[in-house]
This record gives sequence, C-alpha cells and structure tokens, in this order.
Amino acid sequence: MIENNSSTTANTCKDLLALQIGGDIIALEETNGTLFATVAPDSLHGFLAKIRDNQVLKFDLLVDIAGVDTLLLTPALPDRFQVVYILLSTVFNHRLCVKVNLGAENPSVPSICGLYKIANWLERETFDQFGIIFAGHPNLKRLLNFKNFVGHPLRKDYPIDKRQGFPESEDLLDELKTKLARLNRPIDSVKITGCTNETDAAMDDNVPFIVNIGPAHPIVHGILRLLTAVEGETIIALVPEIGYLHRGVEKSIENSNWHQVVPYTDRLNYASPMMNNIGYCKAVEKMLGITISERNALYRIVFCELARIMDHLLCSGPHLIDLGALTPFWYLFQIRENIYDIMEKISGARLTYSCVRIGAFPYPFYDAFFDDVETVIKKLAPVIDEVRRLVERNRIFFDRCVDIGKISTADALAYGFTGPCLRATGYAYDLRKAQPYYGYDTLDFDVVVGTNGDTYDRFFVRIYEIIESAKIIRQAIKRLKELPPDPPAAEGAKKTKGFKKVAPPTGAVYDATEAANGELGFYIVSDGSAKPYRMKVRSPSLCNYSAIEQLAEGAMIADLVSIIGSLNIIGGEIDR
Amino acid sequence: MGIETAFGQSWITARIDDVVNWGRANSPWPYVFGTACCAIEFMSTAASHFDISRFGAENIRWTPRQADMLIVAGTISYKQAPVLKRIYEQMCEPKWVIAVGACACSGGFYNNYCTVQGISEIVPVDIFVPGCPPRAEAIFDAVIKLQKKISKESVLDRK
Repeated sequence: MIENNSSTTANTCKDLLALQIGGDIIALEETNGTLFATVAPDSLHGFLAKIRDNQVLKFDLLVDIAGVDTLLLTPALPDRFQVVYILLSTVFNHRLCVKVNLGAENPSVPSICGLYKIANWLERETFDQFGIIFAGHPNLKRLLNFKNFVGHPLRKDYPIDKRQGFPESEDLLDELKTKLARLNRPIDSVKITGCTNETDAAMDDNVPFIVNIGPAHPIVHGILRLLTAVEGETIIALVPEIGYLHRGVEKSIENSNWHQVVPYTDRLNYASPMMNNIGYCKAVEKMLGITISERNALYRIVFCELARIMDHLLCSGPHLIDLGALTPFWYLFQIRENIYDIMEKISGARLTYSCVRIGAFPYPFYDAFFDDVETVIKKLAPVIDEVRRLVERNRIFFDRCVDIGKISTADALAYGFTGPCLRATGYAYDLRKAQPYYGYDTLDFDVVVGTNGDTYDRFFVRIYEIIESAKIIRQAIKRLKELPPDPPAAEGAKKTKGFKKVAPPTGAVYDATEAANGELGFYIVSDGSAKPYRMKVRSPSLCNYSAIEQLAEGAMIADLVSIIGSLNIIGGEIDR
Repeated sequence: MGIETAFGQSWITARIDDVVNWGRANSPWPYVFGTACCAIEFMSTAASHFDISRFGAENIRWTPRQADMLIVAGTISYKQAPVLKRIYEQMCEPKWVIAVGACACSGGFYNNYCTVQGISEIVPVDIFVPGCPPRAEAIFDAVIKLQKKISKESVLDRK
C-alpha cells in the first residue's frame, strides 16, 4: 500500500504555527491531510509576511489563491466568500492553506502583491471570477474574461449559460503608459504603428514605437497577446494579456459529477493529458481516504512518466521550430506518435484518454503493453541523442538561448515557478522527491537541474528529464512484472457495473502532483453531494508565464520567441 | 518524363472551371487557427507519420493573407471570436473554412458563459470535423471533402 506521508509534516507544521505565530490565527484545523489556518482579513498581510520570513516556517512559494462562494452551502456560513491562499515551503516541505472569510457586501482583502510577485495575477483572477477586491493591488483588472464582461462568473448566482456576446477589444495602452512613465518615457514620445504611415520615420528617428504581438501570431500559439514598446529591436516595456482560451472549465466542473470531471482535466494540459487525470483522481482519493493498490500506483507512475515524455517532446520540438530548426521536430514527434499508438490501444483515443478512474483503472490493459512501452523507450535514447547533437553546441542555438530570459532562483520562487522552469535556475525541487507519492521515493532517478535559469537551461532540463523518465518507466515495469497476480475476487463479492457513485465528505482538500510543467494542484471543496462544490486548478503554466514581463523586458523581439517557447505555455492550462 | 513528353507541343482544351479548380483543389494553403487540443492533433497531421502534404496542403502559412483554407482547430471563446472574424476577413477570396473538433463545431462540452457555441456563429464553415480531438485521418477526410467541393465550384460563383 502506498501511504501519503503529508500528514506527519502537517502536524509538525501545525505545532510550529501555533508556537510561533499563534496570535493572528482564529482557527487552525486539519482536514483530509490539509492544514487550514483561518485569519482575519486585516491581519492577513502581516501574517503572511511573518510565515514567509520565519526561519522555521519559511513559506516561500505562494502556490495558488482560490476564491470560494459559499452561497449554496448548507448549513449556511455567516460569511459568503472565502479566499484561500495555498502556501508551500520548499525548504521544509510543508503546506498551509490560509483562509480568509469575507462578507457578501463589498468583499475586500488587502493585496499581497508586495510579498509574492505571483499574487498579482492570482488576485486579478480571483477579482475577475468572484468580484473580491484586493485593496492596494496596483492593477486590479480582469484577467481571464474580457473588459466589458458584467458580473463574476464563478459566483454561485451567475448562471452557467449566461453569455454576454462579443467583447470590445482592449488596447492595453493604459498599462503600457504607466510602464513607460516609470521609464521616464511619456507615451506621447512613442509612435503607434499600424494606424499611421509614420512607421519608417519612427525607425529612422530611433523613437520607440509600439508593436502588438498576438493573439493570432504563430509564436504565441494562438492564445496570448503582448503589447510591446520597442526601441529598435529591444523591448523596453511589455504588457501581456491572457484569457483567449478561457473556456470556463471551473464553472463546468461545478455542474458535472465527480466522474465527469475527468474529461475536463484531460483538456487542461493537452500535451500530457494522462497526468492531469491522475492528478485529479489523486486529489479526490485523498478526500475519500482511498489508498490505491501497489499495482495501480506503479501503472500510474508509468503513465505519468509517459505523459511527461510526451509533454517535453512537444515543448522542445516547437521551441526549436520557433528558432528555425525544423529537423529535430520531426524526430521528436515520431516518438510522440509511437506513444499515441500505445495509448490508443489502451483507451481508443489518441490524445484525450480519460481512462483513469477515481480509485483505479477502468479495465485491465492489453497483454503486450509492457513490450510496447519498452520498445518506445528503446527508440527514445537515440532520438534524444541525435537532437542533442544537433543543438547542444550549435552556434545559432547558443546565440538564441544562452543568457536569454534569465531568472534567479529567488525571483523564480516569487513568481511561483515550479517544475523544469524552477529547476533550470539550479534549485532542485521536485515533488516526486520532496513529497513523494505512489512510491516515487523507492525508484532510482535524478532530479535534473540547470545553472543559469536561462532559456538554454530550461530546454536542456526538459531534454534530460526525458531520459530520467525513461529510467523510471523501466524500473516501474520491472516491478510490475514481479508483482504477484491479484487474488481472485471473493465468492459473492458484488461487482460494480459502470461508475460507482462517488460523494466525498464535506470539506476541502488541496493535493498536488509533479506534472510536466510543474506543480499541478487541485483545491477541491465538497459539500457531500454528487458534484464538486468548487474546484480550483492550480496551473503551473499560469505561474510560469506570469514572469514574462521580467523575462522579456530588455530582450529583443526575437528573444521573446525563444523565451515563450522555453516556458512551455499550454493554453488550456493557463486560461482554463 | 512528364506529361509534356507524351504530348509534345500540342494543345489541350478544357473548361476554365476545370483548370482553375484543379489547381485550387490540389494546393489549398492552410492557415491554422489553432488554439487548443485540436492544434496538437493538427501537428500530428502535418508531421511525418501522417503527412498532410500527400493532399497538397502542407504549405502552412502563418499569415491569413497568403492562405485560402482556414483551419479552426480548437475552442473559440467570446474573447477570441473577434480575432477569428478578423483573420477570416483578412483572407483573400477564394477561401474555405474547416471547423476541426467538437468545440469549433458546436462548443463541445464547454456549454458555458465564455465559449462560442460553434464558429458558424462567426464565420461561414464549409466542412465540420467531429471528434474531440478528431484523428489525423478525419482531418484528411475534411481536406478531401473540401477538394471535392472546390472541384464542383464555378469561377463565376465568386464574381
């Protein structure tokens, strides 16, 4: 049986919290292995600052901010809204959810942008979806929905199918104006191209001008928009806009039952769907108190690592295409195609499998599964080798990647980086090692780290992680083969046909897995019914992309291509 | 050893429709408006295993002004919709639209406040491809169906 060891760390963390910073906490409770501390809105900022800087707590990573509208909960709560700050200490490996209760009238809470840089976007998202005001936020605008959207869609009194027609386009000039003012560059001195015939003049005079990139530009993968002010080819200011693929996943999930959520998770990070399925099921299992069998756990490891390989292949290939290297893409994609074949034999689908169920897998896998996986793994090494030889010492690749989009570990943590992007800065944090699940701690593999935190490192962390994943799969398969067959079901045991009804007990849980892009987490609130009351997806892409301003300002436009490629932006995950 | 050696310096007579449509049908230049999962499946379609160039549609353009086949692969949200419409308007005639996947066809299972329930609300669609996401073969099928459709057109249709 695979035990989840997070409860022990939570206990010590609970004691430490009470001991160190007892005063601010109204209530401290542990449900489903998740530690919740309730604080008053006024003391929130001070409390978070204390636990961030406290030497024995050190909550250095703000994982997510989840809003909850408790309107339909029974029994009714005195305060309508909750804002939950999910924190992680990467040093001591403990987690904490800080809960703030807010009334229905003008819900307002102090902004924590000054403490964690990622809070900027997460607060904007919560404002957008719930209408909660973050006092002191420098730019409290909608993040996912369009500007003239009326109402807040994740409030329980917003009907799911209330559509609002087509948006006005947002020029983003107001944000750019503030940024340029900070650089002592008033907007009047900047030429706006595209609507005048002064483009050439602007070039000659070396006057900064404005270039809009996206959302239909090939480098931004159809879903991002960037407004840049450039001087020559250097970006002096940049304003990102996201939300073009916001498809209301979280609202739809609230209207589906627990099993129907699985297909929605497939389409979050569609480069590695299986991993999302597993992440979601693991969170619900934690809520239900289910421990899965060793066989299932090992199978899940195999699928997770296959998905990681798929994701890294898909990130690396198009990244190289964006830089002008088409050949490696064909090599890399062929392996993906081989993995598709295996997954198709299992689930019938090539990309969106949905073949993980809460508690187990729905059916036994075909006989030659292990042989097929081993064949793919064998093919993998020469391909990776070939691609490495094509780019590793390639002058052009060097010039486009080394020292481009550099970020320090401290900044990366402030922006909520996890996964390969964090490891590229030289910080060896991997949930598979730090908070092992499914028995990852018993497998032999290395955490790949970079040194510089630049685009080159991010690329190669992914490439070498593919090799590590292959190592894990080999060991997991070896162990699966050695497992004794399951004992036959006892006489008279009831066999469930179709889906078993799932209704986790009332409460909330946060659970995370190490997905291909970083920490993929699910904050789930259950009211004991057949549908999730609220589910917040912690998306690694969103956090990684939130640093784009810092990464790209001062770089050239061509570098932007390289930076976005190396961050691996997956629209379904970033916008949900 | 092409057709020219067999015929020498001779004449061929044909209807102008046939000649034009033959050219148009066999080299549709796609602009891939890929937003979501279906775009990943389109990558498969374009990659070496399936190879869309067998149907003359491998010349993927990154600007709508050079393309004549708009492939909408992925969910279109209301925020994205004006962008799609503008892309369509920027394309030169003649132009055709393929809606790839359940989301582009009907909104798929995103029946909610922010998803357009089918791109036919915004742009005229020639071929709908079902699937979530459709397999590469389904996209080929759409291209072949479009080729058949093109070959039945008349140059006088788009005066």
